[in-house]
Amino acid sequence: MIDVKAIGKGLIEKINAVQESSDERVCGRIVYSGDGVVRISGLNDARYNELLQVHGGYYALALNLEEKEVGAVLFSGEDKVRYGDLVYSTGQTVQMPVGEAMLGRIVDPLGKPIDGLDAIETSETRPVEFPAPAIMDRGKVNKPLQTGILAIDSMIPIGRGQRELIIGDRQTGKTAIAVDTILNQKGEDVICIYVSIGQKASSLAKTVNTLRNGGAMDYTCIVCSTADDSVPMQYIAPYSGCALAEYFMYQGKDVLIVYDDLSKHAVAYRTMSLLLKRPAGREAYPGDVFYLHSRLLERAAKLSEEKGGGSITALPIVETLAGDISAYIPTNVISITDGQIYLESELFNSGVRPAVNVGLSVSRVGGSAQRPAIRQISGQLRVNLAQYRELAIFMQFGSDLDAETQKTLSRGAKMTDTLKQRQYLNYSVRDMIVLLVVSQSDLVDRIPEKKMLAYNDGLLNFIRINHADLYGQICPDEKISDELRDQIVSVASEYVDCVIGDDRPAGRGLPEQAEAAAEG
Amino acid sequence: MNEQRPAAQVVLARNPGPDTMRKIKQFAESRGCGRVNFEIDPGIIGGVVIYIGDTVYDGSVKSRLEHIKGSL
Repeated sequence: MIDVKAIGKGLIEKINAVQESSDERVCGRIVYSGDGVVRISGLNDARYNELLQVHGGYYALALNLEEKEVGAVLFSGEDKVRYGDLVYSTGQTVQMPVGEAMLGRIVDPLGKPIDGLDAIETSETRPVEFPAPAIMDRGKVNKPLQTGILAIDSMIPIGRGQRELIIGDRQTGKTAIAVDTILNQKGEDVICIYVSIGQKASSLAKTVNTLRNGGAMDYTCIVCSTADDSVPMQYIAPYSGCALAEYFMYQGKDVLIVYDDLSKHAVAYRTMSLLLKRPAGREAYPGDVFYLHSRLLERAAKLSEEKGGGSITALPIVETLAGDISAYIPTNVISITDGQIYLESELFNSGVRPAVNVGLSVSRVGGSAQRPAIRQISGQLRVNLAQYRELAIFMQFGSDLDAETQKTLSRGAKMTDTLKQRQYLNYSVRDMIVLLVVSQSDLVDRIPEKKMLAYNDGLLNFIRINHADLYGQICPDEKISDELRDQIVSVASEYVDCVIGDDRPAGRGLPEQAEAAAEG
Repeated sequence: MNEQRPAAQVVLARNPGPDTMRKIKQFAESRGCGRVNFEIDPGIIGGVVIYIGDTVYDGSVKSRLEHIKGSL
């Protein structure tokens, strides 16, 4: 039975509590509306980036302040506003609701839930545009952010507070790396924010499902603007996501934020700028497209201990066309970030997944944050792989190879295979240490070619189940002693013996099955 | 002289009585207005809305209801 009296009483109380707004307001009138852009005459006190309220409950963002007019972009209601409609200034910039309640939710760039669940109970907001932390407030990036991807954690390590660009053509696994990284933060006390900018709703739905099924939504918030959202929504999405990330960072927490992707963000900004009749520059982007991304990515930082020690790690994604990383937006973002993970479609199609091009990928600050054990054993990896690739290209034309060259080639191929990894199958740091130690030992010469992936899987299971004590002895924060290294190799050799003797790997799954799964 | 002073646009829900009209004119003059144009719009439900230049004094019942709706 609904208590009508109680509801009525509650309503009266609430209405009485409503603060009377001042009756006197400054207003302007719409003198032009088209393509989501409005020009407003009057409104003399409007400020740059101010939120304007258009008659009918719509909102616009003031972007051009001119002598007699204000140019603004509408967040919604392009087809509803009319010539002569009143526009009020609100005196505030766009605000994003923030708080713990945002976790596990899918919200639009203005913080409204779009996942069909209850309203979000949060009272705090943060401005969407906010200055980056000052130099003195920043600390050193010294803690790793494990992606769980061997190729990245060993050779292109990412530290908490770093900005690492993920760049590559379409369909090269850019989002997959970001999603895998989010999934790997389970139990790591890292809050994740996934910002989708102008993406297809279908691919976003796929990502959401993956995160949900992987149990990652407990610590993740998705800020989403799809391709059919208005351009200003797509434009503010990354800033909204960043405002939410800052809330957690200033509380001393570690945050991972993924911007998927900034090339679409630049396109949205270009659309807005052209419609606002701002002068066009290279590739028709406006002059401040560099600042657009630099001010966003500068907000990702590691705070000093005095400021709470929180951090925002940013993984911006940029899509290239035909592998051209020297285009305008890619070069801009490469120069802003602290390194990039370059994915190649050729590698992807030849089965190297994740398709990381080790030669072109770098991490400028993550090295110092890498776990000591990983750093120790992956030191030579990059050089060895580079040598292998050089030799492999050279040897494509030769047929008679001496034994030494053949061995180098075979080892290189096996190392490359070891770095292949199935999606959603993240390695722990201990797994990585085992794989790196074994793949760099003489033992690999005994493993048949193209079976590396299956052997690695089997080996990890074998060592986890049958040699749990040894597995437990591996300490990622200390250097690996020669003794421990020998022990790992001897256990691996025990496994290889038993598999080759049996002619098939033990442990979970046969290599053929595992391989079929990897290819499928 | 009157031409250089802005005109006040006054919107009411129904025809004002002489007392209301006098009060409104007084208010407009105190804000530097020369002329007062009256307009009847039942859509504002009640109260009065006065536009002077870029400033709007919105005392309509409609906007108050909208404000309450937005706050609940």
